[in-house]
Amino acid sequence: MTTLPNPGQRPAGEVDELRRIWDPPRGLRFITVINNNYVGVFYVGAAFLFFLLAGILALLMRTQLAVPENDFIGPELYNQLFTMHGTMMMFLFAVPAVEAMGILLLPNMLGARDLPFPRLSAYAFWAYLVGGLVFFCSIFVGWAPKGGWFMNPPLTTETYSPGFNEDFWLLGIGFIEISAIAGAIEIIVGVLRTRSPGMTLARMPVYVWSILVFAIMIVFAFPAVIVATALLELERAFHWPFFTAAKGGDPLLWQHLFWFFGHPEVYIIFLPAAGMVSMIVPTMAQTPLVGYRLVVLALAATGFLSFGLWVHHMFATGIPQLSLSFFQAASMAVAIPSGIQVFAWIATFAKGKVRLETPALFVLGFLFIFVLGGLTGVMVAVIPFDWQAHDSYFVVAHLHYVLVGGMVFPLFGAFYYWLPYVSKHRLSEQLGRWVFGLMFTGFNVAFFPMHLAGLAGMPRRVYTYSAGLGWDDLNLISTIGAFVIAVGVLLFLIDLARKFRMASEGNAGNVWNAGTLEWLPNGNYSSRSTPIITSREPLWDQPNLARDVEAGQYYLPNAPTGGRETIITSPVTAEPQWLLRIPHPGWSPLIAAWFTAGFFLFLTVKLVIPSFVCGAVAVGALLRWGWNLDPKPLPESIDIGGGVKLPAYMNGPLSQSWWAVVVLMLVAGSTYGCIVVGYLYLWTVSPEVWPTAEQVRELMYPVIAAGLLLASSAAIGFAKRSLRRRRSLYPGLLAALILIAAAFALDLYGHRDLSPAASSYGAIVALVLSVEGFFVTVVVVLALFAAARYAAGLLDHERRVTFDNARLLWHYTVGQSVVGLALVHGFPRLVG
Amino acid sequence: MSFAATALHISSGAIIWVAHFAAIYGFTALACARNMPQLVLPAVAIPTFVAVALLVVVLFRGIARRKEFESWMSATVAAFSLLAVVWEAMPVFMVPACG
Repeated sequence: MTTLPNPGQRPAGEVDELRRIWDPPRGLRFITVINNNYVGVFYVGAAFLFFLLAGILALLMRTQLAVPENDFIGPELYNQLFTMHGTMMMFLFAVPAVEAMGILLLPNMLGARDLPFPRLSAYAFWAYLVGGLVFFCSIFVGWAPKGGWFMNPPLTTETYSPGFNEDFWLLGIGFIEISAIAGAIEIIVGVLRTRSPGMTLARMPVYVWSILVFAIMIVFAFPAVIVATALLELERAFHWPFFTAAKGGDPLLWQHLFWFFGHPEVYIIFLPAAGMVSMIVPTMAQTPLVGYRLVVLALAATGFLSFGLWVHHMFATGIPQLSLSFFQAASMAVAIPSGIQVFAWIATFAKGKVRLETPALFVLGFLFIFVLGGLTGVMVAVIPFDWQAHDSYFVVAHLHYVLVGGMVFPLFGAFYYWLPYVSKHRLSEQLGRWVFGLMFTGFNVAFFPMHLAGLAGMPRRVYTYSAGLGWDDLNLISTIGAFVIAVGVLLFLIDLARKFRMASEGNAGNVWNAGTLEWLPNGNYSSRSTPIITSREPLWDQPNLARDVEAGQYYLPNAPTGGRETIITSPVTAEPQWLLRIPHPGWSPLIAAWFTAGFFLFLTVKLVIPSFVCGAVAVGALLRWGWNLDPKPLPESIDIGGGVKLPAYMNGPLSQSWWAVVVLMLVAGSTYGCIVVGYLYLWTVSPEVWPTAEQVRELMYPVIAAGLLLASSAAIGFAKRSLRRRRSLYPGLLAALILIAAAFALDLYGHRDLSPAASSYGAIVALVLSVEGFFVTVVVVLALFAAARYAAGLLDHERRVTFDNARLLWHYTVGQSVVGLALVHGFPRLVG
Repeated sequence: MSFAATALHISSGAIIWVAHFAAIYGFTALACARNMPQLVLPAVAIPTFVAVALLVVVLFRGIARRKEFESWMSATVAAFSLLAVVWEAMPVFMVPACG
């Protein structure tokens, strides 16, 4: 039993004050809402909308395939349908849906008032919604991509796919990944820094572990697909031959980059779903999860091992057999952590007294389907079997068993389970059983026969087939199954329309008698006070917790600074460190999101001027957004109760902003790593287009450029010291700006003879230079932004987060550019 | 312990696994691309010995303090990585180098 930090009666009016501060804006300004409970619901809703739209595309395909030689849909549209179905399900439904659930659930599950960057969540949501809807609409004008969801070149190069179709994929999806990365940064910093006091790493709910692993995986996996899409778009737009074999490129480079993202992607989708299952199972069995530590280990192990599986999508590409065997072995090893989780869930069910309500039914359905998909996964991990099954309907069956089993069923279980947390009423139990029954039956009727069709030789991505090949009945059955699933989903929608009434205060409450913090009584301000946690299921183990939290007897029962706040705790032991003042709603994140989408979408259809106008507006809105951040430090510490006094301002390594920039640097480093590997890969494949040591320009350029870069870092360091000693920021900053600009100019001049379109060497070196230019531009803008704040009196020796952020990225940019110089100028000398 | 040290402590097994996997795959690909199959066996064996030795150290350091959650995680991540490293390197005995 812990001592309550704020015992006794709280003053009247505190809750009303919290309500006033945390209520969403009214009228038209309501769309600027940033509270996680609203943005989270909209985000889940948008992801579900894309699930429905992509599902309708699937029904069209199944209708076409119901009978042989059908002429309902022609090959051109069919190609667009399967490409859009796969792309939307993966990029517009699965990843955003799990990310959205994280944004919705995390603050309450952690006992925080909101995530640390609520405006970033709103930005991610709006960019995704606008971008996704326009992307979907491309199918109505015949502009939808048609190269398959993995877009393999050379099919998708300009030679074989002229027109805008593939560009919609490359630019549309590439930019939606930016929104996923924004969400991942939010989640990582939120999980590590806003947990309730007492919620040590060992007491984090399994779902929180899973979403943390998910976000870390996004940081390392998504950059690969961003690089891949950039390379392919550069080849399509400017003929830089990354993938053209005749000029030293290699189409397999695409597959390596794509699947280095694509296979972790499967687990990026599955792990949060498994985390949801690990929350639903203990509640349904009313007993703590069996093997908590092992399950956390399994999540971590799956997380890193999934980065060693990508080549198993490339078994049929002619890679040496020994190399394939490494991936075959890794693919089998990853079954172990998945197995650990499955046994933990079964053991928890066996230990407790199970209530077979709808969420539990979906979990059981998930177990059946996912285990079957896992077993066929081990089959296709065996190289000789894969050579037989490759590109056949067996693979279609396998991937749907894994993805629908591993993600859609848990997500529907999660909808039933968590709806009472965001709605006045829970969903109907009776109708829920029908929804589950129809979806489970429909799924197996639709997809099990595809194993057989595949083994009978039916290839993927065919718009029709001849009668009499033994595929007719199997396809008809599959089509019937697909429509049964659709009826199940329709029933779910009807139930949702009847029962879902959004509510934070006055939600249906803890109808399942669950043990974790999101089931505390809450409002738009999350829980009234921030609890001290002593176990993994605090609502089960800490009697009166809900009552005391609601009575404001724990930390921060009010709004002492008069605005939105949350307690920042230490990342390992969750001890209170300081009080973060969270920004309020505003238009700038929305405008930035809409115009970011506009920038990419206009660029897709080669409307360069409107695109750049949108880009300028988006950058302007981002700067306007940033202008209001980093509030004025408060002189007094804030008493949150129990004698704990916290500062209400923080700079340096403890600030939330520092953490976000560090994660951003990991993203940038991972992106650059992919480019470096791309360079080495192209050299491995085509050393003949690389210059010899003698052909490389003299050493003077890179050495001087590196010296200038390092000097610019030193100048930034000087600016930092000047600021802290209350001297002028300008001399150091000005020197740094001149030095970095001179370094980049010199590097460019050193490559004045480079022709990017001539060979893969020219293309990859031009890319390294372009990336250097991009980063230099970004840090220059950030430094000028800091200077503007300094001039306006908004930045000083203490209030200096904007400058610290610019400084961190500056040093990173210098480090990255020096690596680039060493690679481009040193490597040919080393091997030539 | 600082957060960076804790994170490194828990994930050291995974980092060794990543380095090993990248090394055996990268070196094998390069040796085959340059038509030097005789280099494949040492290119797999040397990183494997190094990785196994490092993982054993991490494993035993974690086991010694296994009651603490972070050390338990460090030890088990290393144990799983050890299994994966050995298992993934084994095909070198069964499959022709650059076939």
